[in-house]
Amino acid sequence: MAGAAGAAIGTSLIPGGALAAKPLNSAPKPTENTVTLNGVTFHVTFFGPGIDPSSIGDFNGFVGVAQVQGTGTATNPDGSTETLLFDTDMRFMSGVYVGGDGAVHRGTFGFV
Amino acid sequence: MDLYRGQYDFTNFSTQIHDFDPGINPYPGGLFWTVPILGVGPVVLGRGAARMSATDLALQDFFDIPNALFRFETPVSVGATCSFDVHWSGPVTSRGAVTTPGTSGELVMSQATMTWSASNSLGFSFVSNPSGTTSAFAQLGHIRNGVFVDD
Repeated sequence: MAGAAGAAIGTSLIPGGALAAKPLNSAPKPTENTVTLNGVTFHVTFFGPGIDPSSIGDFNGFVGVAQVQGTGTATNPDGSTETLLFDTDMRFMSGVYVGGDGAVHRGTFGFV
Repeated sequence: MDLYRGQYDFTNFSTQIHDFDPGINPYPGGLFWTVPILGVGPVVLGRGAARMSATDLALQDFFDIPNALFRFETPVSVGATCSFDVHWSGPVTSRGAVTTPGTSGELVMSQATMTWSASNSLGFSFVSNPSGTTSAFAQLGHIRNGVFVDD
């Protein structure tokens, strides 16, 4: 996708209510790529070089993946505090997709 | 977003005590940990730059990844919210074509930082330390899959 290099989008311009007000059938469909663990099949892929990280299918757009690790401060229900380690798998998909209703929609989704 | 006490255990998750994610809807074959968000952009592939953020995003605390996948604990999860800000800053260190069958496109490797916070309905809360984070994997790209594949 040489034409995509250097391209920029600003999906924060999409009105907030536009996504929230969509009927359920306009929701994206899960990716057709699957992982089976302990006999249960999930529609997801691990990330890695060359791997499509999108969790939605029939999708055309930008994707991002960030595995970030670090530390932070936790406050427990009893008020005590402690330092914990964190690990994240954060992804986004922003573009057009075919929803469950068969129509093409524009949207931005986070894999959290 | 996962929290561990003392050390990471990515094999048995014995040290993991919190797992914040939106769930799998419907379970188990539906959208996996995926929800609409508003705060993405601008994405500049040539520089390996992008940003994703959210404030007070509703999700669940499943406590650990095995329980998030197989739902064997009671309760399975409790309500939670999170806020996060992820920056892909570049530079681009490599680029290449997508190799997943049924997908076309290009992916670039970058660097990322992240700050985040979360809390659950049991009274637990967490705030990340903005310094000293490690970008273990950071990638941006433009892809086409399914009916949009062009090769």
